[in-house]
Formats: sequence, C-alpha cells, structure tokens
Amino acid sequence: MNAPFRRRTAETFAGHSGGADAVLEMEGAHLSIEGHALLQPTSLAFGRGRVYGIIGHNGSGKSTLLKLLARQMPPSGGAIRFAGTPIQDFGARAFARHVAYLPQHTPVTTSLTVRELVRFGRYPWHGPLGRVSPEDHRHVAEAMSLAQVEPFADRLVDTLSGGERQRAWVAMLVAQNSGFILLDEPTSALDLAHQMEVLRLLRSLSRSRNLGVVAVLHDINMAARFCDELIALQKGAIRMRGTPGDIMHSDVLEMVYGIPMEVIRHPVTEAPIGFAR
Amino acid sequence: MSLPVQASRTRGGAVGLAGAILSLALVLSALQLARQLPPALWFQAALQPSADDVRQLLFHFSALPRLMTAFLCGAGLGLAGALFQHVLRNPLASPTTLGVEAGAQLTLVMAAIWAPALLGASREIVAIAGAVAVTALIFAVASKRGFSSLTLVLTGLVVGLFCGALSVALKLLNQEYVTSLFIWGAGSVAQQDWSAVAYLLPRLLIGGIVAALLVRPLTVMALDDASASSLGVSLQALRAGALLLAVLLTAFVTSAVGVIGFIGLAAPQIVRLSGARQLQDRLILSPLLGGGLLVLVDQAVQAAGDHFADFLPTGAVTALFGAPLLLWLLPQLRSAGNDWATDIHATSRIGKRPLGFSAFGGILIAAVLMAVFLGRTPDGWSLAFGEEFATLAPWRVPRVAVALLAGAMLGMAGVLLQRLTRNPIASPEVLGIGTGVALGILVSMVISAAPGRALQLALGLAGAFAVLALLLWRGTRARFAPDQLLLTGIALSALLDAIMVSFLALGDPRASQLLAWMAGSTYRADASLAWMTFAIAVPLLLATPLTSRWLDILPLGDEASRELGVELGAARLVVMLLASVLTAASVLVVGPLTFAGLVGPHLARVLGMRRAFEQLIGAALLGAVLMVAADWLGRMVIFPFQLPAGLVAALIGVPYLIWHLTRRER
Repeated sequence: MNAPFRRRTAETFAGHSGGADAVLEMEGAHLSIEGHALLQPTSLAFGRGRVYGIIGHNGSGKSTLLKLLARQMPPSGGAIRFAGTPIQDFGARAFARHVAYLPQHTPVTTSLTVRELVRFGRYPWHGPLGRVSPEDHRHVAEAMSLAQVEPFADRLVDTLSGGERQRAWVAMLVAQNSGFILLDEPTSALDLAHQMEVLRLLRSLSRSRNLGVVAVLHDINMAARFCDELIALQKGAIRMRGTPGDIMHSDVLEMVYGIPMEVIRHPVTEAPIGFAR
Repeated sequence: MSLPVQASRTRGGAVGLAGAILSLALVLSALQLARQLPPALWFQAALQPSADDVRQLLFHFSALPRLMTAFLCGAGLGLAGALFQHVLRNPLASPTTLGVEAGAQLTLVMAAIWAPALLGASREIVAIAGAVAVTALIFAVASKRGFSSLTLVLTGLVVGLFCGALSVALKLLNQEYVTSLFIWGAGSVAQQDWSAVAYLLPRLLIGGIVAALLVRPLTVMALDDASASSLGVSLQALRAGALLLAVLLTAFVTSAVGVIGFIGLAAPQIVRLSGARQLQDRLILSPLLGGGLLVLVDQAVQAAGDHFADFLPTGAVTALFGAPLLLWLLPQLRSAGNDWATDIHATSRIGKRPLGFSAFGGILIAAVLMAVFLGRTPDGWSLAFGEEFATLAPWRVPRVAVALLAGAMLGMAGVLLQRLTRNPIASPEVLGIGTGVALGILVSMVISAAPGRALQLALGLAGAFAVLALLLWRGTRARFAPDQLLLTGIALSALLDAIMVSFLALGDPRASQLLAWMAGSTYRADASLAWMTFAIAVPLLLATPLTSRWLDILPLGDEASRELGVELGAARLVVMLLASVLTAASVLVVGPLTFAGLVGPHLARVLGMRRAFEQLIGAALLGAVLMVAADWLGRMVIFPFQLPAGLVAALIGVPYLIWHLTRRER
C-alpha cells in the first residue's frame, strides 16, 4: 500500500476531520443582490445525525440559505463555519468531502449511466489524477445499494423516470460520504410514492451514518413527518424554529405562509396535518 | 421585485432606430455626393448628365447606382432575414447562417469557371439553382430531426462553410480568375451603370408586394400548428411559399453583388431586439434598416479613402460592422435553447461497446502506410520501396507526419471545447478559434516580411487564446447558453473572415501565400516543420487525457462541478490553455478549415465513446486518420496537381456530418 493511499483511508476511517459532532453554522450571514436583500442576517447551527427541514413561501430565501451553506455563492457579510473553520478557507475538494449539495434543478447529464454518475461522487476523494481505490469502489457500491439504483445502474440517467433520476443523484451524494447533505427541494418533481421513498432514505441515512441533512421542502406535511427540526423563513428572515410539534399550529403556519391555515390530527397516527382553510 | 416587462415596449424604439440609421445614411451619402458634384447639378446629372462633364457622368453612372444598389441589396437581405426568422421560428436563421448565400455563390463560381455561357445567359437562374439546392438540402436534413432549430442552423452553417471551402478550392485551381472572383465573392457594390438597379428593383418590389400579401396568414402562423390550421390557414403551402420568397430574394442579391454577410441576420435581429414584436412592423422595418445599414457601411468604405474604395468589398466590411453590433446586442437575446441539450443525447448510444482503440490504431497505421508507400507516377499507381522510397521519403514522410499530428491535436481540441462549453457542435472551426489563429498569422505576415515559425506560432496562439477568452467571458455572462456561445463564435468568425478577405482583396502580394495556407496546404512540410510539430504535439497529446475527470464533470454545469469539489477557475483555465495550444499548433500547419476538430469528436461519440478519456483518444485517432487520408487524397486525385490537405479534409468531413445528420432517427 502506498503512502498517499494509506493517509486517505486513515482519514476516512476516522470519520471526518471535523469529527462526528462537527457543526455547520452561520453567524449573521446575509446576502443582498443589487440592494435587494435575499437573506437577512441569519444565525443558525446544524448538527449531525438530524434532519432539518427549511420551509417558507416562494421567494422567502430558502434556496439562498442553502446555497450559502453549500458555498455555491459567497455571503455579502457575516460568517459561515464548518467545525469552527470559515468555509471559504477549505479547498474545493476538502469542502466537498464535508458538505454535499443537490441543486434544485439537476443538470442534464450528457450521456452518463447511473453508475458513472454515482462514481463522480468520489471525485472529492481521488481528485483529478489520484488512483481510484477499493475504498472508492466500496462507497459507490454501498451508495447504489442504499439508494436502490442497482436495477438501472447501467442505464442512461436521462432515460430514467423523475423518481429514479432523483435517486441516482442522491446516490451520488451518498457516495460522496460527506458529513452533511444539503438538498434543494429534492422531492419537487416526484409523485407521492417517490417523495416518501426519497425522504425515507434521507432520514434513515441520517440515523445510520450520523449524517446532517438540510432540505428545502415544499410540502409542510412531508416536512413535519420526516424532519427532526423545522426552520420557517419569511421574507428572507427566520420566523420560527422548532420541532414539527412546535411549528404545526394554525397561527404559526398562517404567519409563515400568509394564508389562513388549520391543523388537525391524523386519525390513525395522530400526527399533525396542516392545510389551507 | 420589478422585472422589465418586454411586452410593454412599443415599436417606437425600432422605428426610431431604423429612422436614425436611415437618416444618418442619407446625410453621409449626401455629403459624399456633394464632394463629387455640387448639389445644384444633382438633378440634371441624375436625369440627363452632360456628356462633357466627367463629374456628372460619374455621378450618373457610378455614384447614384452604387447608392441605390447598396440600399436595394440591404433591403432585400433584411426582408429575407425577417422572413426566415419568422417562418422558421428561429432567431438565428438568416441568408448567411442557413448557407443560402454561400450556395448561390458556389453555383455562380462553378458557372464562371465551367460554363461561362450559362452565366452570360442568366446569372439569376444559376444563383437561384444554388440557393434552392442548399435550402432543399438543409430542409431534407432538418425534416429528419423534427425541424429543431439546432439542426437547421447547424446544417446551414456547415453547408455554408462547405460551399465556401469548395469555392476556395475552385479558385485555387483556376488562378487566373482569383482576384476578380474574390472581389465579387466578398460583395462589392461598386457599379458602372444602372443595370444592377434595373435588375434588382423590379424583383425586390414584387418580392415586397408578395411579402405584404403574406403578412396576415404569416401572423396567424406564429401560433402553434394546431391553432393555425383551425383558423383555416394551409400551413405547409404558406411556409413553403414564404421560404421560397426569402430564398429568391437572397439569390437575386447574391447574383447581383455576391455575398453580403450579416445584413440579413443583423437587420431583423436589431429590429426585433429594439422592440418591434408585430410581424407587420418587422417586415417593414427590417428591409429599411438593412438598406440603411448597407448604405451606411458603403459610404463609410468610400469615405475611408478613394484608394480602397474600388477594391475593398462592402460585403466584407458589413461583417466588420455587423459582427460587433451583434455581439453587443446578443445579451438581450433570450431564446430557448433547450433542444441543444437533447441533441447531445440523440448522438449517443448505450449498450453498444465502443469499437476497440486497437481497431482505430490499425486503421491509422494502414492509412499511414498507404500515404507513405502508395503513390501515383505518370505511368500509373506504384508502390515505392527500397531505393525509390529513399528518394521519395523526404517529401512524403514529413507531410504525413504533420497531417497525422495536426489531425490528432484537432480531434482532442474539439473534445476539450465541446465539454468545456457544453455544446455538442463546438469545435475549433465552428467557434472561430481557428480563425483567431489565422488572424494571428496574418498579423505575423504584416509585421515581418518573412515571419519565422516561432513568431507565427506565438501570434497564432495569442489569437486562439484571445478568441477563446472572449467566448468564455461572454459565455459566463450568458450562463453558457449554447446558442449564445455559437452565435458569438459565428460573429467572431465572420469578423475575422472579413478582415482576411479584405486583405486578400486588396491585392497584397502575400495574399496567395495566405490563401494556400488557409486552404490547409501541407506542401511546405519539411523535416524541420515535422520535428517542430512533433515536439509540440507529443507532450500535449500525452497531457490532455490527464484532464479526463474534469472533462467528465464539467458538462454537468457550474453548480454540480462546484458541489463535487472541482476548482472551476483552475480547471477551465487549464482546459482553455490546452485547447488553444492544440488548435494553434495544428492550424499553423494545416490551416483553419479542416473540420477534423468537429468530425473527430462527433464520430467518436457516435461510435459509443461517451466518457471523456475514451472520446479524447478516439477523436485523436479519428482526426489523425482523416488528415492523413486527406493529405494522400489531395496528392492523388488530380495528379500531377495537388489539393491542400485541409481542404480535402473539409470536403470529406462535411458531407459525412450531413449524411450522419440525415441518417439519425430521433
């Protein structure tokens, strides 16, 4: 075994350099474009092993918040840190080993098979020239099995259905083996069954791999059902933060969505269900 | 948040702009005319020039008809462009981008060389035949692909370039015609009498009246097909009629003055972008603006100096003016370009294993052996061995080596560019990078009487890099919309071509040398050039595959690339630099027109090489095969004469692409 390979696997087995309880946090981070504030100064912390749902109406700054955390754009001010280090101080690949991000619109995949796409998830580990190790192959295989994309592993991603394609991208993120996964509306294009499938997968990964999952979600009931914590945004600022039990009240939802809302109990599970009055 | 509402704009802007350009053209023309003849004598000179006064004769037989011809040509092309854009629902359609002008030009050149009598009998029949043939070809291709805008413009551009290349070949083989054909081909509007006006005026008037009659049905056509037919419009007939009209208008203008690039694209675009949304307004304003623009350009050419005025073709200068104008207007253009992406996939097959590289390697070796050993002598075909080969080797080996290396480099450069720009038809040729190199080499010829190869390479490289940097800068601003990038590339190509054509038309003694180089001649290849190319090519060919992982990920776009930890700035810069150096080194030896950079990557992908590494190797091998075969064919087909390898490669590559486009099913 050669030296660089040993060093890498050592790092992998130690978990992440940030450690198992590393925190992704923002402190007074905000973003304005041409004088228009997309996100007010915001302070938040996300821990591992939990699923966070970001909710709010359109234009409330949900995607902006996620993009700042994912380092897709720099904040206009304030700080964003991972494990105490400002995220801009990480190298591109080093950051990708800690935080994975799924954009709202997944790009057109120029004639790639699912397996090839999932392998891209290992780029942050092997880089442009590094050797592809057995470790990389193991992560790819595991990610494909977790996301249940093996039946269509050798088909072109663009020939898949919306749900299958979304799972292929999630598999790529899983193969990335990062401590945090950020997803921008991962279920927006999916039918009910596939929404449940994707969210269930994310929740179980969060438990089994001690993964921090932060997802922008459209459907308040889905969010309440699968998240440990909800963050409600309105006009670029946090209006409310708490467990689904704290958020699922008609007055809170009314404030967040700006229309009269009502909450009832599910007849069987007793889970709160919100709907427009 | 307030977004600019396009629909609230009125046509006022467009009317104002057209009016401003027309009045400016008018004022400039008046000033120019006044320099030739006092205004008091204008009326007399126009109607009945006094035979004793040379100024009046010039005014009557040269200045006035020139002014009229320029306006008529611009107006005809403007109207044709507006019709093309509307009927094809394609903002990039125009006489230039659909290859219609080039088709008409090609048939005219062919007639001038082989059947001058035909040309004497009727120029317009010849021009119409070419224009209609090209249009029919493009539509035959496009109909197989559901008339996607990509296919239409891609085919048009390729056919246009092909016709251009063929025209160059014919001119090369018929040197005695070269100078006059060049001036005509570049669109000089200089006149000696009223015949051009008498020819154009009635035809364009009738065309204008027919267009006016078509306005209402064509307006309905802007709806989708189903709604239009439910309103009782026969779509097929209408579409065919309007297109035929546009083709005829183009053919009339081309047969009168030659190719005047860009007016037919620029005028309707400017009218559209400055706010005219109604078809009626566009059909009226586009010809007015086109006419005004061409007069303006022509007056500027005349004002620039009497020395140039007779030779500098106005059609070349329109591109000098039109291309930057278009570049400036482009960011406002928001056209849907989604069918581009689907085209990438239409050409990829899964499940089919790529043909082994060893097979391609074998083909390449066979081609090299054939090119080195098999030749023609006055007595017929002969294989050269032993002593005979020893005599021939110093001639044959360097040029085969140069062709091989250049083809391989172009193939790889094409893959780099396609993946960098996420555009399936990007290539050094299509994006104008080859032209950038050509311009650099032109500069080297201007600043030094006998430029050394190092100077040529350095300036060629600078040209390539400048073009690529401009493309990327604009591409980033337009979020890499493929059609924006392509249009930028076309505009740049046209601009640089215009500079080259002007240089050639000025009768500079270095012109023929430049022409031979542009056509991709490998005549001059000797051992030292071969070794120099070898020394540059081998490290590049070995280094480029190291970027494979970037090239796999980059087509996914910025967000995904960043997400996966790709250093976007560094990766782009490296890929850009590699593509520039590869292009510069190969264009220096085989000219800018080979299409090996388009055909190689394309064919590699069709053969199932989807991943970057496979595609790079495959494209390099295929590009090398193409160039070696082209070099050999160029020496054989018209023995004892030779055709330049670059030209032959284009003549092989382009029909292949067109055939391929017609064959593929969606």
